[in-house]
Amino acid sequence: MSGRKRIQVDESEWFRTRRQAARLKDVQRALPGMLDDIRRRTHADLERVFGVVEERQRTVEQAVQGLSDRARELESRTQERLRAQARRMAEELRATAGELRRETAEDLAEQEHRLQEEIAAERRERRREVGRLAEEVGELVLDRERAAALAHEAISDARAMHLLVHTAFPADVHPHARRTDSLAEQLDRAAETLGRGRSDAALATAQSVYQGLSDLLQELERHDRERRRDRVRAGELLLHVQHLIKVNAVQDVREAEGEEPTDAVLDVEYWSGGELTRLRAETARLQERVGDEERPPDTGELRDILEHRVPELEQRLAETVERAGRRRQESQMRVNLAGSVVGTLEEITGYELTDGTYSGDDQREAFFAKLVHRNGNEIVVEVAPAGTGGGTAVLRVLSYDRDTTARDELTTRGHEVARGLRDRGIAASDPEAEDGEPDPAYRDFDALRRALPRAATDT
Amino acid sequence: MAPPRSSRYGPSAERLAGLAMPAGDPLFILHGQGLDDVFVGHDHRRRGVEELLWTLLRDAGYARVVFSSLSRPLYFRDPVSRDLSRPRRRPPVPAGRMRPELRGPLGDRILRAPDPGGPGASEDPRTAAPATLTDEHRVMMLDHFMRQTDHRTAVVLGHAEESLRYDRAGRRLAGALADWVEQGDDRNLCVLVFRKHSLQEVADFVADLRSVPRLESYLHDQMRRPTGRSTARVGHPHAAEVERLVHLLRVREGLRVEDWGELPSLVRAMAAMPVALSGWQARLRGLARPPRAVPLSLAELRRREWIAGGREDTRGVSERLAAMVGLGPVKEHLERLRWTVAADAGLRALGHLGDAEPSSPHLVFTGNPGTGKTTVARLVGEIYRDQGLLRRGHLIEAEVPDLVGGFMGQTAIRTNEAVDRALDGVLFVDEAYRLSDRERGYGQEAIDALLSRMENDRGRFVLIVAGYPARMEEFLASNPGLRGRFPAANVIHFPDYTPSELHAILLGRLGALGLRWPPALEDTLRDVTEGMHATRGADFGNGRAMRDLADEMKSRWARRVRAVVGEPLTPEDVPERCRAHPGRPVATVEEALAELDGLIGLVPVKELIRDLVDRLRLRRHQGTGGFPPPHMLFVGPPGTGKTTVARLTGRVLHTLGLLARGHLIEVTRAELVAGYQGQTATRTQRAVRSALDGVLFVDEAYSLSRGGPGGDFGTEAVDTLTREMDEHRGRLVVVAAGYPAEMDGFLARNPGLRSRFTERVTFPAYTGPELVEILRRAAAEQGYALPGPAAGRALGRLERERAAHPADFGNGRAVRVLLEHMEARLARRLGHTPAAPGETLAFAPEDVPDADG
Repeated sequence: MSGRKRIQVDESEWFRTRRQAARLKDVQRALPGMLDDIRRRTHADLERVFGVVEERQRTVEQAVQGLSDRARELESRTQERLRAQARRMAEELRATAGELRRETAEDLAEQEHRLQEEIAAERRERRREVGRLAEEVGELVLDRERAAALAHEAISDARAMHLLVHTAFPADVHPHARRTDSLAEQLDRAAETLGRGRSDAALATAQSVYQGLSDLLQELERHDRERRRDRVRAGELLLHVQHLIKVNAVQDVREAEGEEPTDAVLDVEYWSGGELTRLRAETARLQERVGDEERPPDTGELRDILEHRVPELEQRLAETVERAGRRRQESQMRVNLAGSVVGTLEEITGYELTDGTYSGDDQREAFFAKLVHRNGNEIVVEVAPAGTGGGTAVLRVLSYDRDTTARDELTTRGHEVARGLRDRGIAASDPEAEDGEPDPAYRDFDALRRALPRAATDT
Repeated sequence: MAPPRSSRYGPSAERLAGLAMPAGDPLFILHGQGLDDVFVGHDHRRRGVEELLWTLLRDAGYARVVFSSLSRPLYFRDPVSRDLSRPRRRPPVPAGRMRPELRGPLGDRILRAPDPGGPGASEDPRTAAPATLTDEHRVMMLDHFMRQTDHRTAVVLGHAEESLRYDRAGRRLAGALADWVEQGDDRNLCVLVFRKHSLQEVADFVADLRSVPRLESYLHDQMRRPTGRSTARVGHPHAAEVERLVHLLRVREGLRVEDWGELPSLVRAMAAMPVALSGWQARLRGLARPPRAVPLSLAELRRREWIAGGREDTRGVSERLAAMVGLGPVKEHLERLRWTVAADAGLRALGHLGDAEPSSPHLVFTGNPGTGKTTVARLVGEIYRDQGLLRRGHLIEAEVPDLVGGFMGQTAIRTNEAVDRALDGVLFVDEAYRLSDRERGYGQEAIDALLSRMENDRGRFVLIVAGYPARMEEFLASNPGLRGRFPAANVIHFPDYTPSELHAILLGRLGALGLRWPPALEDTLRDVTEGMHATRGADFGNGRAMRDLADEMKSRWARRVRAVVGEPLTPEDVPERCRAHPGRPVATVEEALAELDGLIGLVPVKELIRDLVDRLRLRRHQGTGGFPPPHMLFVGPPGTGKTTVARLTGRVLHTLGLLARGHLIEVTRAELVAGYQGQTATRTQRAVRSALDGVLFVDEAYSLSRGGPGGDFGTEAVDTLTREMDEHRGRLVVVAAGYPAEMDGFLARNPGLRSRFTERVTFPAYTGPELVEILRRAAAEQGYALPGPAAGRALGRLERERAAHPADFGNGRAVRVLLEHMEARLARRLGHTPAAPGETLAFAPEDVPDADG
């Protein structure tokens, strides 16, 4: 009944606090060493990833050496271009490691695009040459020997290329098995055709097969390069997220301009209630996935990580930090509010503040302040978080008076408190009486400190 | 006047230094207009009552003094009290920071802008305390102070009226007051400071609130206490304090004192006025303010009407007393009183007075109106004040209606209010005997209240009761307490002024009005005053009447002379109603007896009147005034003309100038005696008053004391009559009439009465021829002749009637009855032939009926 008065407090201050905490959302920050770490580990990734590429390129080059002169010349030129591009890409990635700039990715895409166009142009030229050769073979009907040699050479090149495709990309070629099998069949037919003396037909078929396999090799090369690039990038970004989590876990609150800095650091883990740990674990799982050599992530998975998962993690980190900061501000505000109520009560009632504590000594919980009158009467002020995060707090005034038991007197006290708060610029609602007598347990502040009780009143 | 008591804590002023702190009572009720005043302590510094009260309470051993009012719920005047009330001393908290008990994640920071009215605002260390305590918690805090036992605490409710009426926690306050009253452990004290002037007003106010019943009963109990009250009144400043104010303003603000010699009487005059010290301060500053600074003097104060005009004379009391006209016995009595008081003061100073009850200072003034009683009462106040018996010695005049209320309980209130106003001075109750008059209702209640206050406020005021001598005697006899308070030695009689004293007063007043007159006018005025004196009624104004007359003459003179103020007074200026008195020529014996002579017989009466005329003539010749006409007994059988003679005697005495009007009021027992106790005296008085300056004819006077049932009331009439005859001697002739034998018995039973009837006139029965002569004259008056035969027959008829009824023969009345019968017979005899105009009808013998006819 009378001894429990509940006052809802809406305070513009809360909104200011939220605005202030919103600044914490900007979690992108670097600590000394973070960049180096990312760079170092990205470089290592590059070494590892592009080391494999070079190895493969050597294999390809060796295989190219076994090609006919004509084919060798063309493939060598293409391979040279590709090697140069891979080197450029690696250089670029190495140079920009840790910068995580969008432009880097865009530059790389642009380079890739140009490269593909150059290669495509070459290939068109080559097709024209092949076409001319076929025409020449048609004209060489008379020279059967020479025609047979040319056809044989073409079949050999095609077989070398088939082998190269399977040697260089043993895994990646799988999805293209039907295509390579079909080409292999065509090649077998070309050999058969040649055996039947139809050199011109065999040549044409062999050249077509070669061209298809060469295109496939190009395609696989390109995809491989892109996947490797994405993996490095994903690894780099996830590492960055981990760094951000680490960097933001404990931080100084950045004050708005003109405000006095506080020496209290924000323990995001504490104030977020373990959210940071969860973030960290999730990031670690993704890192593991990206680095999985046995079952490496495919391009789609990497795309998802790069395009969705990493930004999402960063977003969640920002929100967690912001929420932690806000909760801490609100906790301080609760004590401030308790201070205002105490001040008001001291002024209007002559009670005096004797103690204050958070429930369970946990700053995330309700704050209690005790006032004692010289005659032994006690008042306990509880400021509880409103729970919804809606920028309000719930204030309760629990009167443990020996001699003030009259309902209207206590109601008057509640109204005076609300008025006192409003005089202090705090939007306090009119008090509502709550049923029941205040629980005597809330007078025992030692117990309050020890235990982590529920809110003082059953809301 | 004793200097203010010295204190460890500071100086005090007389008004407060004398307050007796309560012994055992938890509430101390202070009231009086002085509580809003400034005080000048013996250190010549101005202070408010709060500061002096603080001193008083600390002196009385209260370690902590807490002040509280509605606007300032809790404050202190000294750091000790404050510190005792604040057990937890807190280090100051910087702005924008919280107290050590309040720590959040950001430490003691306050995130919002600091409270405008929050802690850290500059504080006056003397008064620092929560300024915004709600009424509820103010009472809670005061209640705590009153209950705790660590330090003796006094709680001062500075504006008790406001607190009691407007405290929003009225219920709680009422409860707390009730608890405190019952607490009564002689430790802590609540001082309730009321601005009401009297305790009665405080009690009325509290009763009117109807919300603090315990306080109401506490006040009621206090008022009933004969001694040892826990209440005190703080009034206007004493002369000593006024003098300190004068010196303060002299030194600080350049006030100049014109004559140091008159300073004592000057400050006494100031202190006698109901003016607060703050009021005097403002006025005196006005005097000191350049450029029109004026030195302080009695004359200046009078000119500005800041002190009562002429009241405070630079002359001593003795001189002023001597300058008063007449009042010989009064002056003598006052001189004795004065020196008795002085002697008591001296003995007290030497410590010789011991424990003896000091003689009562209260006085009774008996005398008629206008005999200077009020003036002398004022002098008595000054005598007492000069001797230190009274602090101010001012005079409060009250009449019975001022003291007596119209309903139960109101009388005590009014009486107490009057006493409160008179505290430190004199309460003068005129016509006080009316209080003991049972018909007046609540007079007795007023007497009780006065007796109670005389006991409770011993030394604080002097009561002087005044009235007609006889009535005052009754008044004193009505209550043994009164007799105890007013011993015989304290009864001072103020005789009426003699005509010559009245004359002197009249001339003195005319002179004071600035008028001049020729010597002849003084003789005229002497006649006027003599006349007024001779015809004065019970309400004659004596000196006041002379002043009124002088004022009236002045206004008549002024109208007559217009602006020519050099014109002297003339007899014209004497009002007409007074001009009847002077120079009335004495009527000759013949003139006086002319009417009497028309009567048959009555030789003794005629002789008596003749004697009076002769005496009067002798006195005029000697140059002395008239003499009181005598009261007379008329004894004789009925119908012998006693009433007629009494009426004529009145006229004769008026003609002779011995009675102012000479009219006749005829009464019998029925008009004088009432059916129940107390009523008879009033009836008798009323009859006497109506007969003043004329004749009161009491027929069958012996019936007043006929004994038996109701006889007692008759005695009351006789007693009253006797007293009134004395009181109005010279203005009333009482004629008691009756049968000789009964009258003799009556007078034998009332010897006091007999001695007052100095003249006895016997009315013998008429002889036969006298009866016939009466018949003849009566018949002639009706226009009938009574020839010899008819006369003879009538004589026989009357003689037979007398012989048949000797005891109640009607004499003259029998003659008138006979004449009526004869007239009837004559009419029957003449039938329808009436006499011609101008013809005198004569009775025939057959017109005289037989004795039985």
